[in-house]
Amino acid sequence: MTLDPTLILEVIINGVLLGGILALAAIGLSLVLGVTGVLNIMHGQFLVLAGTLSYLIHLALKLNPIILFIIIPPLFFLIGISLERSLIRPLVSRTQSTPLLPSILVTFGLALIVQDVLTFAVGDVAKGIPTHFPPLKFQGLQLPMPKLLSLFSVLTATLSLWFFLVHTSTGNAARAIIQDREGAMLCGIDIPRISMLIFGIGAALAGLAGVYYSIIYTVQASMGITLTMIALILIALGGVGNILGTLVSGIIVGVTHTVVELLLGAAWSLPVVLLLFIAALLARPRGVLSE
Amino acid sequence: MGRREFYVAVPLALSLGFLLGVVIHPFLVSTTLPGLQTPLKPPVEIRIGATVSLTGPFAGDVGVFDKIMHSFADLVNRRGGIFIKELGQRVPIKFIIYDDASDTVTAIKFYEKLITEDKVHLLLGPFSSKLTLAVGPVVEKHGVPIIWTAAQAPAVYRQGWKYAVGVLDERPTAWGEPYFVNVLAPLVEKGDIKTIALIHDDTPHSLSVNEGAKILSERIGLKVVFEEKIPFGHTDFSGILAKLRRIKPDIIHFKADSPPSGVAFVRQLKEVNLSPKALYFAEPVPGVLEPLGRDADYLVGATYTVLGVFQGPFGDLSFLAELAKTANVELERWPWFGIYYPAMQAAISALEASDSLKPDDILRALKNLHIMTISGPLRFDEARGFAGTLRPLTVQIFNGKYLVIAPPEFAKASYVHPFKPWDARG
Repeated sequence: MTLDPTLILEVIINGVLLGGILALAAIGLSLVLGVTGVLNIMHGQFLVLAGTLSYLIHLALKLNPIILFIIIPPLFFLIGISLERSLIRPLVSRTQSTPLLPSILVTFGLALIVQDVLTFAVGDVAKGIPTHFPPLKFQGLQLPMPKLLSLFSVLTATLSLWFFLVHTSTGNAARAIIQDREGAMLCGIDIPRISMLIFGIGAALAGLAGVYYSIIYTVQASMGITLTMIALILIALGGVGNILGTLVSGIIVGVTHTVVELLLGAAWSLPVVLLLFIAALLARPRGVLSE
Repeated sequence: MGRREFYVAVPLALSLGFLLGVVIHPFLVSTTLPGLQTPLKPPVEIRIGATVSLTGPFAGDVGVFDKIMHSFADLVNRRGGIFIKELGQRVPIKFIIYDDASDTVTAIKFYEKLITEDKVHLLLGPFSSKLTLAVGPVVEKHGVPIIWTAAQAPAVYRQGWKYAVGVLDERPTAWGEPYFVNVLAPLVEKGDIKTIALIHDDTPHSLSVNEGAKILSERIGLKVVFEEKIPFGHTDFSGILAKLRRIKPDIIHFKADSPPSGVAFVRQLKEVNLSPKALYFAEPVPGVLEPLGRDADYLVGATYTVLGVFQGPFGDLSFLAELAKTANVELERWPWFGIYYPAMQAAISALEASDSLKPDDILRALKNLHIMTISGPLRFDEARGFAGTLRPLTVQIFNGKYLVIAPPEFAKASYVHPFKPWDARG
């Protein structure tokens, strides 16, 4: 089969779309890690929980999936801040200077509990919402609408977060915490309040990604920790707390994945992505967009 | 180490630790001392052990089968249990089942436990050839008879394991023969279809089914215009679909052991509005059909479960209806019930035919078994490594229901051709 330019363009666009959904799942985790110093292993399980909840709501009420985008993220924002207040904040207050390792252990344990409860309640079977979005046809290309929507969402989320971080006082405070936690504290920044807010935003983004996953792919109780691991790869590639870096790394991974699938075959996609990851880390250990 | 480097290093270390754990774990779990089986005393129950994939990717294939096995034991015991010659009396049976999480390491751990701690008399195999190939050496080492329930890859029967028999016909063409010969061949003769694209994952079973599809395509005159192997669990098919849209095969033949792969493939076909004349989806299990909903209509695939045609021990419709009620499982919805249940029927029959409960006697009884099961006559063929005789039927899916379309002697519906294009559906 000849590799005509339209084919290559279509595959690259599909890679960008894949990168969008990968980044959407990772951005919230990156933000939380950067601001709070907490590595929330539960993040992937939030996504699974949101996807499962979307599926159950859709099954029970036959709602248009678009409505789920309005319901689920705010709900997960509330879940996120509740989790921060009840579990993360007491933990951080006891381990002020080193919250990372305890947070990994606690959120890992929580992720396993949620996974088991979810398995018990609804089974560990793939769940997804059947949808009827026609593809977007353009210049001989056919592009999947749910993935286009997810790219739009991740771009909107990235821009909103950028605006929030750069042009609001709370966002500036969050950036100050990312840059120098102790310095921010000495300047009187209310770190617990900012952390709670950021945790809520992170969970809301995971919720949004969960709705997309249940529409584009499927969600399953046991896949949460794997999703967190994939997100961590993107964060390592993009730089901790670097929202734009996470988006760029998602797109790099997505495009590499689809182009390798086209040129060498699907079996080579993951090995090449991982090789690229190692090479990028060796060249730029602080992330692809680091200064 | 700076704060940022620390944040990069920790996730990496965690990922590495996770991988190392997966590699090291089997060595830790296999440290249980072998050969500790005590001589069998008259038991209060016959213990049959198995793992079932209640979680993980295979849960969508067999996730309720533990309930079926426990309910089966309850019903058999309510009828007095099974007759054991050596004891001259009926004895209750008990299933001891663990969740292998669709994972080879976990499966190995639990088969060790079933043999060395639970001291089972007989084992049933795990789901998939992949898990079977992993647990085979463990079972063979301890010398406990096992019936492979869901192992169709020929590689399983080439291992020379003495203590194992399997219920399935392992020949690569067994899977797709009714579809290719009875459904596709007439369409090829009419000139309606000419080309086929083959996509499969890299599990032993998928490799075998794909090999069979190539042989059968050649036999009926179909040209293979595309073939691609995907990793297990692959969920993004953008590159493959872009190529398929240009090649435009008449038939797409898809075989993946992981239900999430299957769901993603069909959804993405729909997303790019790619409609072949026929879509063969080898494993139309509940874990695929439920997320797809009406998008699964027109798919063609395989099932072993057709109730009411054959019977065998505990295989009459009234018993099966009681089983379905007790387990609270709709049996017809599970294509692999039609292989697990014959394995259970074979287990009961072998235990009743055995001179004693010693492993070698049970094994001898198993190897000499020739019984009727709910999925047809079953025997274990020594010339084929004690593989079995059960073959799947071809079904077409409409509204979540399986309609048998081939082979003709079992067909309950006609094949609806061609596949209705996505953009023509409501």
